[in-house]
Amino acid sequence: MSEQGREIGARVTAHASASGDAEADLLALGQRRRYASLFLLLAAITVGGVLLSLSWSSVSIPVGQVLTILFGGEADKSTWRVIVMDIRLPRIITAMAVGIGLGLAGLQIQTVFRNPLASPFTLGISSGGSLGVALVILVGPATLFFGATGGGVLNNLGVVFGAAIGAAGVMALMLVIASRVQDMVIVLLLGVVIGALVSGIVTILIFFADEQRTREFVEWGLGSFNRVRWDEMPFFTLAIAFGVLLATFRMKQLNALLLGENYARSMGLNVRTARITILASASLMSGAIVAYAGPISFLGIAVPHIARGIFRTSDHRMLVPGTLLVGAIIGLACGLLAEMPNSNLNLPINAATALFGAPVAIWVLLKTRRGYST
Amino acid sequence: MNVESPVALETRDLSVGYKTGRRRSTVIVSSINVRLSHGEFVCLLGPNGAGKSTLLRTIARMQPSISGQTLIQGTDLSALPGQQLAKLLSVVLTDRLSITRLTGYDLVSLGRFPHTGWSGRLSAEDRQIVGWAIEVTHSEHLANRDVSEMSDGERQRIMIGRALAQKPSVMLLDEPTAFLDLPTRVEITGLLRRLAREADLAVLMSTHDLDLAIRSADTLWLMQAEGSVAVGAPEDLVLDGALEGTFGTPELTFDSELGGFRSTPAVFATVRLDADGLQGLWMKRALERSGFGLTEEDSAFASVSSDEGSTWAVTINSSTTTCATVSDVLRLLNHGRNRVGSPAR
Repeated sequence: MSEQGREIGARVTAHASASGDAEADLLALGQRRRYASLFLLLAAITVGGVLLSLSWSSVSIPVGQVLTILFGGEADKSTWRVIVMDIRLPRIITAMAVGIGLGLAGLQIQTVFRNPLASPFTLGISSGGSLGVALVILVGPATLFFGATGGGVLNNLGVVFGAAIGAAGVMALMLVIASRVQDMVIVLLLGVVIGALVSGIVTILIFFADEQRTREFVEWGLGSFNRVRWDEMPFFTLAIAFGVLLATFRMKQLNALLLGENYARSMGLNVRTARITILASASLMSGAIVAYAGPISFLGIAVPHIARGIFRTSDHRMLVPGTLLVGAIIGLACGLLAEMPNSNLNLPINAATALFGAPVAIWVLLKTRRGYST
Repeated sequence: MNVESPVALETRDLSVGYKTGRRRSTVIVSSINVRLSHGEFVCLLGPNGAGKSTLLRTIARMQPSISGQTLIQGTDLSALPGQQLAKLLSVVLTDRLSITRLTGYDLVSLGRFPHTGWSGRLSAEDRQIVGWAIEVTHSEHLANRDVSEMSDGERQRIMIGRALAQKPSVMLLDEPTAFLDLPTRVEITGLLRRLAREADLAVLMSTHDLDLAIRSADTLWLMQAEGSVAVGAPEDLVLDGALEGTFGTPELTFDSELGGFRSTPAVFATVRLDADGLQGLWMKRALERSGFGLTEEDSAFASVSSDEGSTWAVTINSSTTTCATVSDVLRLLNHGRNRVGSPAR
């Protein structure tokens, strides 16, 4: 027993004999204060990040002007209003929704599969979305894909439908497998295998497609936060919001699953139902993201680990809101990086997520020193 | 005689086994009729493959029974919704934990799962029960430590705390003392025995630790090779030969005086031993393990007697040597035996 352990033990006992109820309150109190200040800090960073992203991009707009525009006032330059409201705001909402959605999907998948490397990608959902989009862009009639990655107002639709149907198809398959197969390691491996199979089909499609269509498809695959327009925003944000809601109602179940399925069942959890609803929530969010922003890698793995590192707990009652805030912040940061402020350059989002996310994840993992040892 | 404490769990003609096909199943043990009372500490013993885990898992509803019933607090196990069962029965399993960044306190709190609302938020009462579970399992020093950094014994202790926080009537433990060193095994067994008394809990643990089970259990459930379960106080099962019948083999003798098994090596030669008390007891054990049979007759190959001043006098072929330690005696006897020649079986 360490000195520290002994001291804490003594504190707990002393407290118990003093008040007679809620013995370990003392232990919990310091921790709760820590969590509260962390949440406040993260929320403040999120608000700051939103304002920064609104003002700082290819053209700089003073924060005061941004606030004036947001609250319905008149800006000094009339173009600023269009830039802030119609270009930057949708992009920022998309960035946050992607970070939140992939983070929460990754968190849930990692817990259900008890595997730190599991993510929406390992379940083949992103690959399914890619196949759908490949079919639309590479082999579909030209009217369907016309201007898929830019231009027009309604032309995103073909790509979104393709991605949604492809992602939903693989996701349905994985849910059926997950409800039939007991061993989650097998389910995870099947996800990887199905993902590889689907990617193989996509490769064949690319091989036979013409150059311009291939370029369109590759561009889609790089990911972007600029695709969701205001008229599409309700669908996208509703899908993410519904997924967040499902995850919130599954915090307790996720905690029970930390101990493994046998213990979870022994505590009264209906493991099969819990598993299916949790995967459905993860699939819904990652499917919507593939459809509206492209197959964005890395955030699904990195965000939950960063949240675990910051909050130093595996308790999902902290991790679900924690991942939400961390995901929003990292989404904003990736969006900002991709915009390359004060330049006319635009990086692909997938490059930004890797360039920004990887160092942060490495720092967090090394700083906390302990991984997810098994 | 009919002085019984209230029954927490009982089985009626229960058969356990596993499914081998769509319709077929293999029965391991059938017609089990056992009872587990409040405040009772029961150890489930049996050779490997006798079905200890199968019986335990069936009673915990982690696998289906082949036939028969299990009643918990008078209600058929199969009729209970999961959450209600969880309030009556908790388990400590052999499953390995793979969690990091979870404190002992958080782990014990998970035991409140069947009692909390949708978010799993602990009420003041829940926190009080968690505090109690930590206190009675003496795991205050583990409350703030990460589960992944605990020793096997500490983790077992905190897992018992978690099972206790579930506030069940029955606690089932699958070999909780496996992989632990001897002092920790004694500690954990003692803890379970105390919990049964103090929390009026019905505790059933499966174990391979015969000696410890005999010394601490109120009742033993002995799974016998022929597929039945013998039930009784440990002492009764020793006296009626059930323990020896279950575990004994030609190479293994059950020592009914010591309450443990010892191997029976082939006897190479006989020795006359003349010593009492502790000295006599341990010299007897030394001789037996080295393959010397004890005899009272003069025909013995050698004789060993304890001198005054805690030395030994060894006589072989009427020449006497004085030895200071047991190991010296054994060396001398082995030397003499090799000279005499072939073993006298």
